[in-house]
Amino acid sequence: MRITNNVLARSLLYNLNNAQQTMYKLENQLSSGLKITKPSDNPVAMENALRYKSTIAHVNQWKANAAEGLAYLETADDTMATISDVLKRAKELALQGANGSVNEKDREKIAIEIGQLKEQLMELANTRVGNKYIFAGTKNVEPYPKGGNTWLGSDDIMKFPVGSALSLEISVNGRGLFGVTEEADGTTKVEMFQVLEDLKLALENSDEGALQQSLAAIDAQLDKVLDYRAQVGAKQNRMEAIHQQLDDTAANLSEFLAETLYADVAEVLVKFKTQENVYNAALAVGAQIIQPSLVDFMR
Amino acid sequence: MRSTFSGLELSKRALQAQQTALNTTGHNIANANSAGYTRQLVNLQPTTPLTLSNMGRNLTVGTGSYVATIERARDIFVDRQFRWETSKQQYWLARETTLSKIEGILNEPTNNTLSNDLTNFWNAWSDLAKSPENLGARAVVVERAAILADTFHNLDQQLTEIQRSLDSNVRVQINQINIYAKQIQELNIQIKRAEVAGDNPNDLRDKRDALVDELSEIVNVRVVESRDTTFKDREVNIYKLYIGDDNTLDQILVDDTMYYQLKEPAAAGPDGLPFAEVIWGEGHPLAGKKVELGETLGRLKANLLLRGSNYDLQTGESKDNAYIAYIRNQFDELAKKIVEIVNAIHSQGINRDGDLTPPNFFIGDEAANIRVNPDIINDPWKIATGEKYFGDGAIAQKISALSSGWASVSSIYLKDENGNNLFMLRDPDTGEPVKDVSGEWFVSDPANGHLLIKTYDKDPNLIGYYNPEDGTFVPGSTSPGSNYIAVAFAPEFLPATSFGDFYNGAIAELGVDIQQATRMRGGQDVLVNQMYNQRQSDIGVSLDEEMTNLIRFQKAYAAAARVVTVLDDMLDKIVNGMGITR
Repeated sequence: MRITNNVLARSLLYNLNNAQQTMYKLENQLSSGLKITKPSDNPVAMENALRYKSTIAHVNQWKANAAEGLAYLETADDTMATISDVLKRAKELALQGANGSVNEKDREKIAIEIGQLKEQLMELANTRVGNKYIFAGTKNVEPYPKGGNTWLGSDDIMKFPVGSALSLEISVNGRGLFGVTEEADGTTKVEMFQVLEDLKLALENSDEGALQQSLAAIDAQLDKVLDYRAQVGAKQNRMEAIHQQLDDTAANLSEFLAETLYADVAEVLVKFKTQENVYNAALAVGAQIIQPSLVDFMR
Repeated sequence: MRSTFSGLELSKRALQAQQTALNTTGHNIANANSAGYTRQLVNLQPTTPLTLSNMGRNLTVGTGSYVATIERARDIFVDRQFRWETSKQQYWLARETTLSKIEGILNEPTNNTLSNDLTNFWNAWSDLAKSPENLGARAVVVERAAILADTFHNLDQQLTEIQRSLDSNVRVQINQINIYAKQIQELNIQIKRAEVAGDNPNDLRDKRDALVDELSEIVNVRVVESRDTTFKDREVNIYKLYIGDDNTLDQILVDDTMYYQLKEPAAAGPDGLPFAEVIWGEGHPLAGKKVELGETLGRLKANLLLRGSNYDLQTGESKDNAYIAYIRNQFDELAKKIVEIVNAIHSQGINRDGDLTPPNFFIGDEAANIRVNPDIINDPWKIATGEKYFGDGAIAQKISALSSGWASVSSIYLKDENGNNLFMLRDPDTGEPVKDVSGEWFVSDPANGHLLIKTYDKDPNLIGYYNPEDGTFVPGSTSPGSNYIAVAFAPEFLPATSFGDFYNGAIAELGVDIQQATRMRGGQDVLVNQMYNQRQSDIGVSLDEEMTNLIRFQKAYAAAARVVTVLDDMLDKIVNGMGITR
């Protein structure tokens, strides 16, 4: 085939351009840190990377939800511990009052303290974390407002989403814990408060029989609180486990994402250097070839 | 009878011939880098010999040389191949360029993309599910929804822009074809004039070939050149230029000294429609019909296939011939389904006001007009978050679960263990959800005679009332006067495992199409290069060769000059030496 100067020049340019294109692509990978800078580089890997990214975002969201849920559960546990202490103190006082050696005046003083313990329980029922009343269920209002005598909370428990189809409870059923029942006339009766109220009355009236009954009732309440605390303990364990699981999942997915999307700097650098050498060689040889012609050798 | 000075005439002819040849070589060297230049070869031939009678015999003696023709070293077959491969390469190049632009708009895998906005939107609902009583969480949901809607608007607008710019490209190219047709026809006339006069208009032919090369980038071309048989003693050609698909007859653009034009496309209105059509103009044998452009040939065809006009399988528009319309349609589908499904789940919830039918969260039905309901923007407390109370967050959780699949959608239309539909009961007066006498929130077989079920079709339009007790159905849209409950119909979901998946699939599809265009274009680059080299080996000027020719003609010229000197000397002897008596 007859070769003209144009053919040589154009061939050289075409090959130089190709070498430079490869260098440009590698340089792009180095400076952006991404193996895939646009979908057409590797569509399947891109699809995977997008999926990983969105899953990681959701898993992190659930992880945060789980952490928040754990905080609520801990608060619930602490509050119930305090309720337990209050009830224990009431029991102490009741035992003291039941002792025959105490006189009426002392009994009245004990009754006053029982009244205050009841007030304390009512406040504990309204425990709040941020905007949430932890014993109010999903109806997020103050469960037992002061001055009223109706329990406004609902009969269920607030749940937090910690998975695509999983929501875990973050508290206990307020109605169940405090023993709330509806009366025929629409008012509500709260058993825990009623027990202390009964005790107070029994002390004021020095009613021996009622005192014995109150002691038994307080014991029953203490047992119930213990039950509920056990429930919270179990919920905490589960939430912890889920939190750990989500953590591991997020770590794994991040690793997959890094493999798919991020460039291995060492590998790209080596490729870049090799390509640079190829380019330099092409330049050197090309310069040698396209210059001489017969004109140089004619006088 | 031999002439005395015939030797001089012979030498003169030689000198002239060699000089012309030198000039031609010089012309070649001067044009070594001119675009589209074909090297010219001098065809030296001996002149007509003389027959002399010499001593009773006939003797034929040569009389010198002359330049018979100056030929163009052109191979029309290689030309045809070169133009064919160029058309294909330009098609894939145009396609690759436009698709890369679309890829740039979508901007994956950075962090400012639709998929990110979607993820953030679902996460905002998850936060809201935790604290439905928190106004801040509601405001965040509204914000993220607004950002999502804006991204949809932006994408749709940019895709429309690309469509319009493709359309204006098409109009420019139609215009260019018409201009080329006229120019080629003018050159044809000039060339014919020269040929009829016996000349060989090489430079004009070069110009014509350059124009045809340029035209071949836009559409496929085919040149048919044949000898005009009415001229017997000189070579006159008839030049016909066809464009478009080779298999369609009569697609002639330039017919020797006559040219045709493509029809001027209708002007576009403010919405960019109607798009330009490529149609033969008046006076053409195929006047008024569409120009068949062939498969994967030329930039015009690429622009037309990408631009499309609408995506409607009924009218034959598909991904293959309306690519951008197809992509726009995919985003429209995505937006429409988001509106439909989020609204459907939302309508089953309760907001703080206890609305029986909370306002729709989104309004709109395609990517260009999806918006957050202004009622919700003005009062975020209207967002329905719960199933029984607004504070239980169950509806918000269901919406946020859309990030991973359609479980929330299929649970809209709940079923009991026997497969019967479950209905949620509401008191029509107060809108409060009510429990059935058995203490359940959802019932599958509404009994106790107080329920007529509103029945909807898919749109949804109210079509009647159904009494599940006795199975009677009263059509019409006015209530027959009993209490009723509303039933939500689960909307159809997308052919993917989730919203995110649908989007990812669309991105991957685009990526694959771009890869194909790049690969094909790369392959064609190599072919075009090869064809170019082959063509150059015929028409290209090789400086080495011209240098050699220079020496050749120079030596011949010098030798012919020598002959003149020798003859001059001989004649001098005759003229000054013979017949002079001292």
